Amino acid sequence: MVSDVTRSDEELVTRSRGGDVDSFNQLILRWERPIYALAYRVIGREEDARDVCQETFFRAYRSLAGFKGQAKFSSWLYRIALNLCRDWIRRQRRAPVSQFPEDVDILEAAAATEPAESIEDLVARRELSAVVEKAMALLPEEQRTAIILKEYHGMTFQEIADLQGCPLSTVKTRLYQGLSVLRRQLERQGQTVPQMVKRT
Amino acid sequence: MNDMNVCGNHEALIGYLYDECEPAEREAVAAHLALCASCAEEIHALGDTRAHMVSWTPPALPLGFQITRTESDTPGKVLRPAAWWGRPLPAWAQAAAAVVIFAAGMSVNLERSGGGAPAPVVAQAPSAESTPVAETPAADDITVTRAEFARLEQRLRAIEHADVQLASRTGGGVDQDELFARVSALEQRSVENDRRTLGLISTVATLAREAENQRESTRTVNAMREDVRELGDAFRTVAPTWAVRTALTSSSGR
Repeated sequence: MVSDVTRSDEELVTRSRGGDVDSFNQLILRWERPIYALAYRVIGREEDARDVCQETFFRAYRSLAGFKGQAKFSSWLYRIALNLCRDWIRRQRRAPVSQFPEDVDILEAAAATEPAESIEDLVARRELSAVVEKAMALLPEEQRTAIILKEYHGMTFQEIADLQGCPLSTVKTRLYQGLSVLRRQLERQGQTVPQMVKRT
Repeated sequence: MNDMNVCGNHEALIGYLYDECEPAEREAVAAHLALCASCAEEIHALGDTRAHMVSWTPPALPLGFQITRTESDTPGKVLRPAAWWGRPLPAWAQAAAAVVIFAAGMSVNLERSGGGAPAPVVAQAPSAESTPVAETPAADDITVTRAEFARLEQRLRAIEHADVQLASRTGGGVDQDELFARVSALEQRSVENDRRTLGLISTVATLAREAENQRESTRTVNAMREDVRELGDAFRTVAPTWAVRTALTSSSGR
């Protein structure tokens, strides 16, 4: 399916509500990666994250009639996905553990997505990624989710507060506490910020 | 926001870190950071932590979800048939099961106790490796083979089947006396069948024993023939020498 960038989310939602399945599939195409990334970072298992992602769009499609457009469509999707992640975590009752498929070579997989990166940088980035992932898994769910929404999805404090159903000040506190814990964990792992990942 | 409010004010630091605060607040925090080494170090460390986080990327999994149109957007509830072991048994089936268990128990009991009647002698069916039965088992020494049990089970199943058919014809509505009489009759019939079968098995075992004895006799005769042949061969080898020696003895004696 070819991505239709000319139409806004709201327009596609309106068409979808009118029974246009292709428009909804355009929304899926547009948002499945961010939703999958959110689910993966929150629950830490790629197959389960994929299931959560699929279920998110399925529920959104089924509930489209109830979406009145008070919030952005993406915020609505994020809310559904986060609720599903929360359900998953409740079911698992354990800290998320990241996993990479056994039959997949991490370096090859990473190289396939970023062929321009040197092997040394690739290895360093994967190691750092694993350290960050491990440290993130130690955070309480609320802090982890707040950081993920802020760092990887670029949400504002207010958007996170709306999604998490808490005051703005609580979001800031969660971010501060979460980052502080991460900082200590990374220092304990002896991680220094490599130049290649430094923000400009 | 004055300098005192900024120092140790986590919310203000986070707002500054993410550049999500009012311009005036941002200026106040920046001014404080220029003076306070502790807060400056903390902001720097948090910034480093954020830089580390960039490296964490989810594995690239193929997605490509799509909603496909079906006949009905709200699929009906699919009811699966319940598992057979979860279904309640009808009355006739329960009665049949009781009959089978009762009859089987009685049959085994009769066979073990001898049943009061002269018990037939049952020997194990001869196999290729088996040796012939040397002695005749005593009358109360009954051994039942696996094959006999299989035959008995087949008969019981046939009885069960007949009973099930009968129960289904009568709708399962039989009273206790009638059921007891039927069970007794079936049991009697089963016992008679068992005795007939055991007698047949005994006959077969006897025949097998005789055949084995006959085979043994044949083997003995063959062995004797072999000995005679070997003796013949030995005699033919020795005979010319003996003849020559006899001739030499005769000539030297002359």
